[in-house]
Amino acid sequence: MDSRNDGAAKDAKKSDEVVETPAYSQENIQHNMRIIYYSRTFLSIVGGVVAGVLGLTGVTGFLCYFVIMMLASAGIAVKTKFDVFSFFDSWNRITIDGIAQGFMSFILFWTFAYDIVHIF
Amino acid sequence: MVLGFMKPINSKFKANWIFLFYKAIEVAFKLIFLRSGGREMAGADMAVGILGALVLAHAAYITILYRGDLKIKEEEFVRPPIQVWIEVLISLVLCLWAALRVPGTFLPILPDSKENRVVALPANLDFMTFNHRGKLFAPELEAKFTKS
Repeated sequence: MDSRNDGAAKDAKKSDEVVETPAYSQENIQHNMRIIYYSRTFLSIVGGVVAGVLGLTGVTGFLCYFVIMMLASAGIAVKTKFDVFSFFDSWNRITIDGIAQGFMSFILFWTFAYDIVHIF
Repeated sequence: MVLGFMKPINSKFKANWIFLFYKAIEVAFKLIFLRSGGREMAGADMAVGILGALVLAHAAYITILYRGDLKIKEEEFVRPPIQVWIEVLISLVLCLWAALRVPGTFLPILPDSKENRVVALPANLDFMTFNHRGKLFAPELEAKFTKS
């Protein structure tokens, strides 16, 4: 009797060691992604106007964009209180994700602001 | 030169009106973007963001005046004055704060976190069975149910 119960307990322990794919709440993942997307878009627009007002041209302008995006990533990491894996499924979401979409907005507002402030 | 509100802009293209119109569009655009986020307590943070946009608009205005002065003195434009740099930095900080605060807080994605627990059963229990193998697993959380 005892050995049978022990066997059952050992089997239960073995199956506990099987790696399970974590079940994430899809709705919450999308909610978090949407928040990051809004933050990055707003900061791209602000960054574009900043680059235009300061009269940055060429490489320094693109550098300004990447600096602002890095600050945004740092801000998002602080917002999660550095406990990234309870809000996102990988670090890529915070560091890489919204940068390409914001880039076009940045260039648009950079051109706008530069024209208005420095040319007209 | 600090406030620069009363100086006319020397430019053939009436840059002041186009510029103010553009800034109004920009602030409205940002407001439309920010309105889609969470609503609770977003008022103060949105005010910070609007303040950042206004400071940025003022910095742009000062730069336009500065450029006008340079055209009169026939000098080259190298970089805007220190005041513009400081105002741009201030507005960057304010807009960073607003961009991180206004869209709302993050929600946890793991199913066993406190906010994601199902604490009330839906009304139609006709298709739900409770006599399944789940009774063999010990619950990992303290049972706390709310009345709803």
